[in-house]
Amino acid sequence: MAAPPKGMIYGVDDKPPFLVTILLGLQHIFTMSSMLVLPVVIVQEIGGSFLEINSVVSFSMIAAGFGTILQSLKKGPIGSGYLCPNLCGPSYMAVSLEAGWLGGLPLMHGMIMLSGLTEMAFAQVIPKLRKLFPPEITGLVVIMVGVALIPLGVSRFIGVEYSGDSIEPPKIIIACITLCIMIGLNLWGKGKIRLYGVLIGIIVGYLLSLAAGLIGSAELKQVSQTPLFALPGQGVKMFRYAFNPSLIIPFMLISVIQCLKSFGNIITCQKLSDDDWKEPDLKNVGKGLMASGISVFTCGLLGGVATDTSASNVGLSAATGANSRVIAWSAGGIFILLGFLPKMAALFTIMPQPVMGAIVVFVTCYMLISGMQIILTNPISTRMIFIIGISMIFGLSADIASSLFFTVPSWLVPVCSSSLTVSTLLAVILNQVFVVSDKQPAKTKQ
Amino acid sequence: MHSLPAKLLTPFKILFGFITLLAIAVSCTDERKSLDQYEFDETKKLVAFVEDAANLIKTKGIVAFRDFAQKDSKWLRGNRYLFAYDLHGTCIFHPVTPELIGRNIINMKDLNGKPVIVEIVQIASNPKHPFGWVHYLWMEPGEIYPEYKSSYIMRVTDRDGHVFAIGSGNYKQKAEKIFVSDMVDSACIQLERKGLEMIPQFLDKSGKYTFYDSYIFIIDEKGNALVDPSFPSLSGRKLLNLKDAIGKPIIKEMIEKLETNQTAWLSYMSKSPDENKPVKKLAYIRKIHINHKGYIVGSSIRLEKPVWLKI
Repeated sequence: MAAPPKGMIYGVDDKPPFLVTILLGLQHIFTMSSMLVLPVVIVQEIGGSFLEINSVVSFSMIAAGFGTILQSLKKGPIGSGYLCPNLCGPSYMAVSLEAGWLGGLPLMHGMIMLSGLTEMAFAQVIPKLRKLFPPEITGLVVIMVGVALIPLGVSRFIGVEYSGDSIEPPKIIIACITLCIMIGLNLWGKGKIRLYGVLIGIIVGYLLSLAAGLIGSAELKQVSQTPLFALPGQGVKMFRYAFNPSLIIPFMLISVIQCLKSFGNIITCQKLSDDDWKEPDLKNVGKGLMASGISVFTCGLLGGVATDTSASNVGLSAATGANSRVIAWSAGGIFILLGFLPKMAALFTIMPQPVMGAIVVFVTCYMLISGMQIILTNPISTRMIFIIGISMIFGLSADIASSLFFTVPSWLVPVCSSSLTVSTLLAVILNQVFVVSDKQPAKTKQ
Repeated sequence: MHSLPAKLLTPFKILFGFITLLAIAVSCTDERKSLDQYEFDETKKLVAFVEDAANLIKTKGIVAFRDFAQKDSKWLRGNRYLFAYDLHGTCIFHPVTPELIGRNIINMKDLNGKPVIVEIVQIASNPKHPFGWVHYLWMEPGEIYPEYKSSYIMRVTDRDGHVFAIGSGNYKQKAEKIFVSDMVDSACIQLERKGLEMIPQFLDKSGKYTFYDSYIFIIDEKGNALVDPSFPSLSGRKLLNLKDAIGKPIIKEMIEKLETNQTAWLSYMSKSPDENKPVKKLAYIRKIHINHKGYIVGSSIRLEKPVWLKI
């Protein structure tokens, strides 16, 4: 493994002291927990019971923790060897809901298992696709992964959850203070202070939110009424699966989109771990995607929602200067444990909106800039200006002018509604068009 | 990095202190059960606002209305204000339209013809459940376009024995699940009391059984529409094989769900003639029997989508 790059306090092969590892793991747990609202929303929307919500949340945590540890494995055919935690990603939300509406939780779990298998199959192919992903396109994928975080980050930062919600100054002030603390400690903090900068920001944000009443009686009551210990799946019929042919294409498409996102995350991890990074190690990416696929399959098998690799957590590693894989064991282990300790898990899930917004905005900066750095690894050729430019323009249009794609066939909706997918597909196709037209591979140096 | 000096424990002390503080907050929490049933912050704030006002009236009596009339106070800011009526429909307090005070406006109707004050008084007069919601199409003074408004109403008795219906409202209130479940439960009570002669009331767009784009529908046990206010001219059509925008057999699923439960929630993608995209809706359904025949009574709301979620 390459030497840790400058600015990293704990490199990927380093082993921080035990207590430091636990604290850094907790820091990642806060970010991973920010998405636990998704299984709640999914089960609520399909009319699931309180017991079903608890069961799906617990199993999602266990599967995400398992996936985080699996991803960090260095040896063997599974795992990229990086700290690239899993969380309940929004990518699968739309298709999971559709499956839930059509056939309840059994259909959702069955189709998630199919997605896991698709990701595993894609993992076998990716090492052979080197020509499709030169660094410029890889960088584009990383940027678009960061772009996908913007709606969540900004809406939480501003404190607007639903269209028409009023903007409340206290929420924005708390978000700004939390973000300033994170940035300040990151800029001027040294050593341990920088390591814990995000955690300190989160604690201050929680305390300010408590004082401002943003963690209200309903949230606190939710914590107090949740049992300290509970076996996941209590009172729920488990291990029931169903499949529906009409959902195979949407789920497989999302799996590929998800693979592209994980691709971007793992590339970022590679770059974080190597100052001399020049091009993606696709064999390593394939092993990472294998871990991600197994994790998704496990989610369906156990009875959770699909997880994916977390761009926020990769950004967090970059920000804190700690990407030791040992932290993945800590974060994954704690997350699995929290699956059995609902009361402790609830403390994380009541995270106030401004705090969550500040975290996402903070880590998104790292994802966006990391992508730009990857694109600029080599001087940009005129050809690449158009490949990247056109791909970004049409990719971002999926976010900025989403109504353009209202009338596409329903099976194409997952593709057209994702700026990541549109831009990646376009970039890959355009790059190959130029390759064919030039009768030579696209080179970055001219 | 290799040793474990005492100062490394400091972050743990901070974390421990933080968790302790949260635990204290959890144990000291003021549980306001009335807010648990609502999903949206704007609803919780409105209900808490009216409850706080009711408590102030209980302790201070009608003097509290002076506080409520203070501009830029927590009681009168922006378009948030309180109003109060007696149980005969006479306006007791209205800081935005003071000329109403002292007048009996029991016959006042909204722009759809809904008798708003009658509904407010009915809610406050209910001995078992003297609080609830009224939804109406309203024109604020000075505005050109009307907007839907939802007001939360409570009965309050002050220390001198005066009884008021007080309330306050939100414009463009997001539809809460309890709005439809309350409406359906109330419709079922009336159906069980009065039978199918209630049907014209469900079709009346100025009645209490409709708000925003929600209305009561009734389907018989064979899946035939008995009350279908969205397409009144098509009432009686066979809906058993009706599928939603993504092919889900919703009526069959309703029948199936109510085989084992008295009530159920069901989500579906609604096809709407005036929308390009299917709309996500959530229906609340209840099984009842009238003259030994089984019926499904229900209503649905649009599901709100978080701004960050693309579905």
